[in-house]
Amino acid sequence: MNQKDSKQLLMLVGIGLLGILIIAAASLRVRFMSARASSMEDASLPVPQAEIVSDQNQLAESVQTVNGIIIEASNFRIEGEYLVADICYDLPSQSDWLLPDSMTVEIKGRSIKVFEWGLIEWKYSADGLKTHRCDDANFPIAGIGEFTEVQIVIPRLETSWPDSLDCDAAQNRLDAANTGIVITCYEDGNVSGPLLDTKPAAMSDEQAYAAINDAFIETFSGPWTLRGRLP
Amino acid sequence: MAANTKPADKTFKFAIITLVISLIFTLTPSVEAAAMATCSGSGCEALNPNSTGCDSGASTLRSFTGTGYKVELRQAGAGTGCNTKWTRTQNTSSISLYAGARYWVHAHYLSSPAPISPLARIYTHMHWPANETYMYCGKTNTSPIGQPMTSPCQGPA
Repeated sequence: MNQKDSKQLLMLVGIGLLGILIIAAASLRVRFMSARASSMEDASLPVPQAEIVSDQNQLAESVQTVNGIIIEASNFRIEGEYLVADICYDLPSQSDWLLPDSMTVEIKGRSIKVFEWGLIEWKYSADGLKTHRCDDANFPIAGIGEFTEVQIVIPRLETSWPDSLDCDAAQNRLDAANTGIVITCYEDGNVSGPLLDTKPAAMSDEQAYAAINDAFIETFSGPWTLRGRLP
Repeated sequence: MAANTKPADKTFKFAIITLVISLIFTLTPSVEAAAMATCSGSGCEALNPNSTGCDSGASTLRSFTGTGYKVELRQAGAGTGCNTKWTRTQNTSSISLYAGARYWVHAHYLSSPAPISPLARIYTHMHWPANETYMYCGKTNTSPIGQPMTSPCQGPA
């Protein structure tokens, strides 16, 4: 082997090693993404890992971490006939994560469902990805009398319904969960939705539609329980 | 010498191909590019958010609920270039109901001519620009819903 051949061989080895390094990096990236997706799926299981870190003497704000997702409630106040709280939460992914309609506030032993909530702001990472969302949540309290302490319960986070329905994907999820539900989807001008074709005889309509609802969205299970006190 | 060069050439080509494939795989964006909408900016005014593709990556900004319905104020995905908002109402009951939605600006309101099935949604046409925020209204009912509806609505007057 002459000097030219040796240089060529060295160059080839170098290129080969670079290729291997790139493949390894790409493989790690795929594994990382899979692990993240997997951890999200795992997190939908009701694993009790809650940690309340609020100062129970103040209760002006409350923070709880469940399955790695932090939700904080603060600025409890009365506005007209509503108890309002600012609620900030980590986003599990870049999907359109929202507080659920099933969110409640418990006051004097009564559980009251949220009436309206809305965006205050999103927070972003340095590279422009959404990382947190803050909402104001409004609970109707007319006729409940005077109170100071409240407890907000957020059963889960969920993504908004997609505007374009992926019926096949939803059906696959229903099949994977062995629900026995069969759906079709329709779109007519400005109306679209799923149609329930069949369901098990023992399953109520409410149960069937709850399962169909969850087949079109992503969910992240809690619950988060946030205690607060009016100033 | 020719016999020594040929395997080296093959190896070289293999290494280059491996490198190129690896680079393509590594540099491919992990986030799906937003689907291109068929309109942009003011050209989206009063158009359907779904058929234009403006609903790709859309967000719910605000929401309120009532018995048998959920009303949402939606905003087009940032990557679409639509910069629009609209209202949609979902039938959250387990029976078919008439539904109506309104984004309280211009003529952005719509009612279903017939009952819509559980979980189905009716949505208004879009309003541009998105930095203007108006009241959003909607409900479901066992009888047809007249428009323009004035209640229930939420948001700034």
